[in-house]
Amino acid sequence: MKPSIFKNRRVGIILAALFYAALGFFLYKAASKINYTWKWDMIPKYFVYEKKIPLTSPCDGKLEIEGNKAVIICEDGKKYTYSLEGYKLEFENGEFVYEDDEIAYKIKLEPGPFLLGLWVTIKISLISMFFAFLIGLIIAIMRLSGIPAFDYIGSVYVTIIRGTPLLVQLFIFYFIVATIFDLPRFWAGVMSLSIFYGAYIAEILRGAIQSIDKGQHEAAKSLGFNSFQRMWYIILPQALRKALPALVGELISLIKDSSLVSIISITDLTKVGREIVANTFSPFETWLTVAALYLMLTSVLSFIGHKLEKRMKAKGGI
Amino acid sequence: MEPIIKMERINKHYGDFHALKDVDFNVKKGEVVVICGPSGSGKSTLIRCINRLEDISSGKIVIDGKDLYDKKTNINKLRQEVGMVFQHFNLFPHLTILENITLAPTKVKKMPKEDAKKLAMELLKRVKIPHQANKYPGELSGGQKQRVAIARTLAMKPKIILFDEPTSALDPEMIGEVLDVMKELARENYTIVCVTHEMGFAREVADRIVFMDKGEIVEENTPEEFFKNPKTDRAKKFLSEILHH
Ligand SMILES: Nc1ncnc2c1ncn2[C@@H]1O[C@H](COP(=O)(O)OP(=O)(O)OP(=O)(O)O)[C@@H](O)[C@H]1O
Ligand SMILES: [Mg+2]
Repeated sequence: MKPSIFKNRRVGIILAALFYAALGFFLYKAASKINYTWKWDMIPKYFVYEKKIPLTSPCDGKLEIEGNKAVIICEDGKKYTYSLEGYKLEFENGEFVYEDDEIAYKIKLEPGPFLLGLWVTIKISLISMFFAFLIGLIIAIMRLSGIPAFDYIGSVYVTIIRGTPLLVQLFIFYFIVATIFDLPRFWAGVMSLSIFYGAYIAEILRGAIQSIDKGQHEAAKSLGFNSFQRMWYIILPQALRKALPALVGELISLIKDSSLVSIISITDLTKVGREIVANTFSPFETWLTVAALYLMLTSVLSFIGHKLEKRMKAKGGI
Repeated sequence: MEPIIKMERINKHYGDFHALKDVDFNVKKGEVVVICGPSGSGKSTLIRCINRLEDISSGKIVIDGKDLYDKKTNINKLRQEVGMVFQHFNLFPHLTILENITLAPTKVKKMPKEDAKKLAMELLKRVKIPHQANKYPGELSGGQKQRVAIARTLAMKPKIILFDEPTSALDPEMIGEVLDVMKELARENYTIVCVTHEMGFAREVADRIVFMDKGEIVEENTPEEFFKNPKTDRAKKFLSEILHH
């Protein structure tokens, strides 16, 4: 019997593509029903825009062009020289100019709000990832230290953080902690993301460390490694490999949840989206673009995760 | 001469279970001792007490003149002199064979990397797997893994080597290659304590056989005497069981 064509991979891809194309078309049609006018062409200028930089005359006088330089001889006899490198001239040699006349201009590309917001999101995510990992590692090791006080400190932290909403924690950090310690809002955002994800990463790392075979500890002990060396050279490298897929998952969530910081007025990608919608009244295009940018960030991260995993597989399993 | 391993009146409890009962066990420098006995008799427990992988409930252990439970004894330092080879090899799976062997000398003894590498290559030649240095443990056979584990232990230049059933996780055709390496070591001046049921090995290289049952040392003797004239019924029963299949 021939296998059903629905089991074929290529057919599957085509069907899935058709499904989403149909869904997109349906949404598009639905949007035109409510008389939504699509203005995709306004999106690019929110990524980069051309900024005009004018060169103006400081006085009334005469303009003389000498090679690549503009010289203005003012009526009071003063002379000003400007380089015309990259400028487009709007007057001719020997013409008379008045004060504040635009003699020349040049066009500079400036990053628009989408790029600036994206950069803030990347920055806040990367810094928070670093601290979340650090906190997670420290808490995991504290909980496994065999010292009850450390274990309890860690478990209370994990319980509180995992038992309350991130949004509420963000408010606590912004309105209470940041106010008391006079922290900039950016760092309040970083702190709450780090502390929130630190708790989850701690639990992942704790599980991974515990899953390492007892024989590994024993072999390391029998060779004379002290407890720090055992952890650092033997247990942690193996635990990190095991935890990698779960860690990447948490870091992807962190990127997505970083959009919450827009609520405390950090100008991240989401906040920028809101501002652009307010200016353009084009919520469809704007939010679809914002979503695509987040998807790009998370895809890059999961791609890196897959690459790392593959490389470790090549290096003898675990 | 003072024994290099001195264990006096050792008791070990796991909860209510009395795993070692007033055991006295001494090993002289250079001696090769084989421990045998039925499953659960406390063989592993006994040798794991020697490098403090298990803590004893009571008794006294002195290794190479150092009391294991003296506060002044640095246990990590002492363990450098007491190598151990495990039933399940316990190689470090994330490191290459070469790194498995060089890690302890470079990190624990602070040996220069180049020297450690040279030492490792020599040891791999000795255990007859000179061409696997850059592979990972997952790519080797059981017999090769165990020989790497032996090389890893030798790299710390221990005075004492403990073996806990080093061949019982191996396919039969690989047992010989590991025993050959162990026999060579036994003929050098290492002090060896080996838990094994390989009676051929015991007969060939052991100076003494220790028979344990139910947490006690029931009988000790030279291999010839032990095999020819076991004194206790328990030893007789054990021998007839393992020699008859
Ligand atoms: N961690 C532990 N917790 C509780 N009981 C234990 C533990 N380790 C060993 N025991 C018990 O102590 C007894 C002796 O164990 P041990 O491993 O020393 O036996 P053995 O002689 O090495 O046996 P085998 O030949 O099966 O390896 C066994 O009855 C075992 O169940
Ligand atoms: Mg055992």
